Amino acid sequence: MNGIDLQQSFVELLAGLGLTPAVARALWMPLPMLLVILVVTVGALASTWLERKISAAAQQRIGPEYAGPFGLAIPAADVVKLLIKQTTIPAQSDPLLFVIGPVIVFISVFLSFLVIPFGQNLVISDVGTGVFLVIAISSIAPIGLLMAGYSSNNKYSLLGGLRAAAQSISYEIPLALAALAVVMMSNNLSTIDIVNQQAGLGILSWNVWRQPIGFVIFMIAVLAECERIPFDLPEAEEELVAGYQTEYSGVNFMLFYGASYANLFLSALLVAILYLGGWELPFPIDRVAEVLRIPESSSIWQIVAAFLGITMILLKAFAFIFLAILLRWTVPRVRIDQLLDLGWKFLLPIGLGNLLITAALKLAFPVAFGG
Amino acid sequence: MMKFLSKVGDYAKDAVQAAKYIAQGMAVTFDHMQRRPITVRYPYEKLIPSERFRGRIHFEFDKCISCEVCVRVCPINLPVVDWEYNAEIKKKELKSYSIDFGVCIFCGNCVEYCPTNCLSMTEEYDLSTFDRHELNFDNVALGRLPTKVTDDPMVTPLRELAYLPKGVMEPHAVDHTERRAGKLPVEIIESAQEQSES
Amino acid sequence: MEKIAENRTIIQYLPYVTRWDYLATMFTEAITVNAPEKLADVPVPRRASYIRMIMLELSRIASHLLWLGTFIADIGAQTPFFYVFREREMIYDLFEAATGMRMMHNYFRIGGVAADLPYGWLDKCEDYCHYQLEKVDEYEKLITNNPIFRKRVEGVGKITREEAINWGLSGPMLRASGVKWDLRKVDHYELYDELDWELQWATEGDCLARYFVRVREMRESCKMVLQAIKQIPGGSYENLEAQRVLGGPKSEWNSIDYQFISKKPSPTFKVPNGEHYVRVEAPKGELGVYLIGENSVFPWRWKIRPPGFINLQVLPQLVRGMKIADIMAILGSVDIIMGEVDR
Ligand code: SF4
Ligand code: SF4
Repeated sequence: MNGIDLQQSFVELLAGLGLTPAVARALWMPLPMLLVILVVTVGALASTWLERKISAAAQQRIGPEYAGPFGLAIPAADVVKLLIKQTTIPAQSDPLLFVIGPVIVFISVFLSFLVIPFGQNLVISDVGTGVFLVIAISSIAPIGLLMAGYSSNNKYSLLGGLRAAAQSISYEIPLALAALAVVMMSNNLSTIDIVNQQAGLGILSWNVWRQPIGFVIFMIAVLAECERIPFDLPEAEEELVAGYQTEYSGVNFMLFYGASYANLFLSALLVAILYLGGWELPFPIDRVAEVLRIPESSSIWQIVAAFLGITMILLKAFAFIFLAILLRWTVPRVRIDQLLDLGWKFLLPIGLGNLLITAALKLAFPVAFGG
Repeated sequence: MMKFLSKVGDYAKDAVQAAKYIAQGMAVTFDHMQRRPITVRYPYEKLIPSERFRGRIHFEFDKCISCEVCVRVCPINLPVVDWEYNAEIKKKELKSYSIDFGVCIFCGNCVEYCPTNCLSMTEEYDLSTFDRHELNFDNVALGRLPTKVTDDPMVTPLRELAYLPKGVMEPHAVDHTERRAGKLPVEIIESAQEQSES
Repeated sequence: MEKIAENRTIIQYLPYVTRWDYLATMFTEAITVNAPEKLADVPVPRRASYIRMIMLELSRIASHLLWLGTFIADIGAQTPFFYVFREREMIYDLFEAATGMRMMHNYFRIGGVAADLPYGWLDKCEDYCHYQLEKVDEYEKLITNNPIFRKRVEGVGKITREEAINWGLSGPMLRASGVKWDLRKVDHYELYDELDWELQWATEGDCLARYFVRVREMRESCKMVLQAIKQIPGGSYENLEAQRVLGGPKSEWNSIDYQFISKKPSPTFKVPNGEHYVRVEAPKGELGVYLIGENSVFPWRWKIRPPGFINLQVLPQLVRGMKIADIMAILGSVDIIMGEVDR
């Protein structure tokens, strides 16, 4: 299955209009970027809306109700509100770092979406080191958080920033180890190949079944990376007011807020790609095409398949987001030492063990574990 | 080696236990998602204040005998009773009466101790104004009656727990006209008499 | 508050007292009427005493509920907060129906209570207690065994038995440290002896033990209210009224035991000569008043012993060497109300 090549079609279309392929290609370039920014923003906004609605439902409330149907306009209202709010910079702060901090966090999260595929060819760049690019970029974010915490000149902010850095660094490792086990099975770091390797038998070929331990480690680590309860120590409001965000307002705050939900969305997509078969349907879609006697290369079928793929990956991602939200509204927060204990003394050894077992299994059963 | 393995086993057991209890907690929150929200959407739905609710005070000018008991029992000596002794009829004549609801704590002492029952408490509780002096009600303003929640076509009245039928815990579940729990004394008397007759 | 008391008659002062501990309001009223009542030897009818007990125990549940919500919220879980408010709202609905206000009741009077219960109230109260018992199970399912919760509170903020006594702690703080001390059992006030209930206590003395003591007390209180509803002299108000009509003016139903107040206190009720200390077991601990009267309408001295203030003093010792996050857990488990700490 090759999927549709949008770029090719676009270039051909423009070439048909009498443009040179080079110009057409240049015209094509900003389009997917804009599209991805749009998708990510909408995804993040949808997550905030879901957060409100789900927490409301879990608490027997209604949640946003009057702003748009089912309160759907609430995220937009949020954005508008934060945009028109005054941005204050504390007098004693370091203004440059103070402004750069949230920007770094924001950009690093959005940059990671470069390698997230929504379908066979629906990805901005199929980088050979896809998974590790994400992990590498995501470790830039703590620098921004630290900057924000330091420059605010506020003890709560500083504590929050330090906690954020400590937390991200210690959970990066189990995260990478869990991802490594997956990579080992697919023999490739590219996100697309990882998904393709999970195709074939539908739901049965997904990595969850082959990597149950890795899946759990990845979920926990990813929750910690997103700084969500039970791991939201950097902004634990009962202890640190709001952590590194304490002094922020207006647009700067929006960047943090947006980045945290975009990060959640990113993590959900990663979970879907690495463990839940990405855009694959729970049943092999090629068989359906065979049964329906539709030639796989027909454009209608391609579009339908791509559409189904996008729906599937979003469904999986939002299922994970739902779980994360429900978890957030169920459990209390861990303490910083317990958090680090969990990361270093529990997840790390288990992650290593998992890697070892995967390697052993790969050697023993190359058929099932990607020889 | 055995020791190490058993340790790993304990570890695994702990982890499974932890996962189980977290799942149990999530089952509780998940279960709440399908329950009916208990929120009262305030301006569109309102609770009917209870019969004994102590809201804004109502005052009947003609009944008052200017005895000032209400002033003496009030924690802050709040009611202002302005009277003059009328020598002709040998009685105190009330000129004006006012209570400042910006200061009143709605304790109900004045109502309880007024000898002529000219004070009473209404069900009005939304006393917000733009200027706090507007809350200083004189005897005319004190004589006004508030609108009832049940008469307002804009709101859905809801009952408070104590006025719901027996066994109903949630106001949304029943209409506000439904009969509340408990029998009336008259009904108890009737049934007692019927029993003694039969 | 103490100075205000010295310039007010008891009647005038009563509406103020609910501001000490605004989450366990009935207890502040109870102590405010108990003090002059005992000094002046005013009798309390049995029915009034039962009504008081029902109200006090409901108030205890309300206070513990709110404590539970804030305690769990302090260590990071927000949802139980909404659950406890749902139940607390019901208690306040009941209070509003009986007293006229949700928090500032002004319901207790010297020699009884302000008014009898409204009709149907006992039925709904019974409904509520059954409902509450179910909900406590639900909270326990949500919270008690949660591994994160356990990790956060187990062994944190330990107070030994001796320390607890030396610091003068009271209430659940004391009982969680292994001291069986409950003024309801010790002082035999009101008619608590007629109810069948057990003192709740634990020996560990940490935050978890305090959590257990309070949650179990909620259950116990529910059961006490249910018993009191069954045993209250005259039964529900509607029944009492009916019996009075049936029995005629001379019936036994008009006797003092079935009244809700022995005699309505006059606005010029005098606090007699003498001094004494009166205490009740409030949800947070021993709430006491030291009263000196000199046969005038105003008390000469009105010293309040708030449980929150005294329990709070142990905090600096408990948080020494702990993590920041633990301060929240410990402070939460102490259960203080600033209204009575700085009264
Ligand atoms: S107590 Fe009643 S009758 Fe006496 S002055 Fe006050 S309002 Fe008038
Ligand atoms: S309700 Fe209370 S505070 Fe208000 S006027 Fe009457 S006695 Fe005074």
